[in-house]
Amino acid sequence: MSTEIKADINMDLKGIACPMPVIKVSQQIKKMQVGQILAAETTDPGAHADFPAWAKSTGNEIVATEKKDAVTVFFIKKLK
Amino acid sequence: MWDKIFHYVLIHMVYLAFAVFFGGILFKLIIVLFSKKFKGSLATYPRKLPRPIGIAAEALIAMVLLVLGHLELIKEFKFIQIIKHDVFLGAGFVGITFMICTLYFLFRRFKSPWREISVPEDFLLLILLFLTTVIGSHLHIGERYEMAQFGLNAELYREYFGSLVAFKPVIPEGISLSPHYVLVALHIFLANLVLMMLPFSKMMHMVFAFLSLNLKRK
Amino acid sequence: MEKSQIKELKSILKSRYNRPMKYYIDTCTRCGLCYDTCHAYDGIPKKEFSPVGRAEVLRKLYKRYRSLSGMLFPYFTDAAGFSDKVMDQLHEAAWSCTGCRRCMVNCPFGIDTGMMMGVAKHLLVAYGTAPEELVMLADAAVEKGKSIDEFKEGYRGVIKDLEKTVQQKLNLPSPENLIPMEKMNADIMYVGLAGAHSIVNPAIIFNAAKENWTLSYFEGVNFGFFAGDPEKANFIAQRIIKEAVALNVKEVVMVECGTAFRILHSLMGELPFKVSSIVEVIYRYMESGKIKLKKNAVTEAVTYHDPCQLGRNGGIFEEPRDILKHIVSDYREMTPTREHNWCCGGGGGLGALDNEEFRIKTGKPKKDQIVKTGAKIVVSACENCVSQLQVIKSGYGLDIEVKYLTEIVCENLDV
Ligand code: HEM
Ligand code: SF4
Ligand code: SF4
Repeated sequence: MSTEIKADINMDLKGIACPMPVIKVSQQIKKMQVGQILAAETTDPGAHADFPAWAKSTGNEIVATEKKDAVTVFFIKKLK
Repeated sequence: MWDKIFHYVLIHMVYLAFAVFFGGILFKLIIVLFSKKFKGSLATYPRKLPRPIGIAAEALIAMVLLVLGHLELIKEFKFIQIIKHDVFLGAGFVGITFMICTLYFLFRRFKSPWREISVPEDFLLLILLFLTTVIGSHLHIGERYEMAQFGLNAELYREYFGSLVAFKPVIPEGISLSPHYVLVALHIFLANLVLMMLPFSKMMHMVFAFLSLNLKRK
Repeated sequence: MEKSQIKELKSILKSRYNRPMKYYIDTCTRCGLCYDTCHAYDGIPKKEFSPVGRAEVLRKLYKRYRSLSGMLFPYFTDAAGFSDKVMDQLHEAAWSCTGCRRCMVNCPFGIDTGMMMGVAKHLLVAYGTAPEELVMLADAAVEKGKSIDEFKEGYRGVIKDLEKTVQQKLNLPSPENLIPMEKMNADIMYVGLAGAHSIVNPAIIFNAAKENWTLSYFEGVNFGFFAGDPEKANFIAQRIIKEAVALNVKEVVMVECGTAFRILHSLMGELPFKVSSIVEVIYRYMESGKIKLKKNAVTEAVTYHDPCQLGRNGGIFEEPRDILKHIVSDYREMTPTREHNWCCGGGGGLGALDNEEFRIKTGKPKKDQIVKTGAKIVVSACENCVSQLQVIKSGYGLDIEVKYLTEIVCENLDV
């Protein structure tokens, strides 16, 4: 990512069991305002398909992903 | 007037009851036969039958004996007489066992947790079965021990049942003129009700039990 | 309630009235033998949480709309039509049932209350009170199935990272191809979950056994089934079936997840490949000597929790026990066990809901069982069971460690 993205809220979802990452993220997104960005840190490989699929089916947007070793950070923008 | 009503109960209603009984079971089975099968397996493992059903098993035995006993009221069957006995078989104990079973089931429903899960149908069926049994037992025991010259013997019943089966129904004078006529009519009336209810109530478990347990083993 | 909604609900009742349901609606004698066999009732003794109690709510509706005696004599059969109150009762009944089918084993007629609650959940989807979380997860899973090609890149990338972990564990020269994907004609296609542990540990085992295998793009769990939506459930399951057929694999092996196994093994009808659980496969490797496990390496007391969908509903009782008895020197059995084992209370999608207090309460029989064994390590082979056992552990402050079977196997692999 060339431009640094500033997240409004950070979440640590490392190592928690299926299907909690997606659930936690959607609960958090519900509390946020449209336009805010959530940064979710996860170690789940499945998240690389699950988060985009979830975003698509709920109408939110993943604006960037950042990978450092086993951890991936998803920057999710609330659109509605 | 009562004469007419009793006549109707002892003849027309018996035919009707048996028609509804067999027709109803057939109807239910046909509905099941044409229903959608479940594509997967409903098995539980290991594939064995559930734990013994306790007193319900006794009720079942009493039930079979009852059917056999009633058959003998139609005519003499050699295969039932393999073990020699007087008609009605069991010297009154079949009826008494059945009464104990229905009473046990009934009283059980009065207390928790059965009280909460029971619906009116459950009580109705047990009360009907119990009443039918009490009167049936009375008929049998009254005759067997010749209480107050009861005077309703197996010969008379065979004449009556035989005529029903032959579709030339008559009610022998020995029955219709007896002071106990009202009991006979009542027993048969209640039994008719039970027969007509069976296919449309939870009593269908007697037929469906085999089918649903089979699903569990496949 | 509006007329059009009642009409819709009635049509669901009709469409779900298949042969087993016909038996179940007519047959229950309300004998009460199942009454106290449900863990939810054991934890919270309340009629609505007993198997008959739950089933009666649905039965009333069937009586009212689809049975002669119920239409003619609603009083005697206790029939009831759709109303907001009934739907609330139905919600309470359906969303406290894990579908463990412990009641079914105890019913003299084998009535499957879990299946009846499946129909209840379907009605609740149409009524609009199905749990949001599960509906959302099901939608995401469907979306993933529709546009999987967009996600393949990213997923492959992370799987590459996992290959390194496998390489380290097995001391292999290169991480290349340790977790193959889209491999044609593989003997085994393994279906995992989202979490890394559900892929790494099995991958270690497959590589140790030098298996010709491939990893599926999809997750085994089926949120459509949990939510009670048969259409989505079918779509989600078909994703895996289609992938397996396209790759022409001989056997599909399911992750340690009860639902995932049950759906493919028992609920999808005849399939052109064999369906096994990873537990069976590990046992096979152990028996044939393809992998070597350290004998009696664990000296602490260990017990095994039978996941309902593997044991009672899948017939996998011996395999996990034989594996554990090899690794562990002090193996303890719970009482009651096997088909009578208590459900942990986390199944049926309940584990994904915001109901921890309820799950701690209804996990009481499981807690009592664990405490009685005196075991320090509780092993299970189901994602839901393991997370629910963690909830029970922290809820009651138990001094135990909860482990996956694959985890304890990998820790004690002789390489
Ligand atoms: C499903 C329904 C029925 C039940 C539960 C029932 C029950 C009984 C019982 C428990 C007895 C006493 C047996 C004994 O003490 O050993 C009895 C006797 C009798 N039943 Fe029934 N019955 C039924 C149907 C019928 C029907 C349909 C008829 C006639 C059409 C009938 C006619 C009689 C007669 C005449 C006796 C007296 C037999 C004797 O003298 O020993 N019953 N019944
Ligand atoms: S054990 Fe079976 S028949 Fe008895 S009350 Fe329970 S579901 Fe009904
Ligand atoms: S399936 Fe399990 S949770 Fe559901 S009613 Fe039966 S025992 Fe209870």
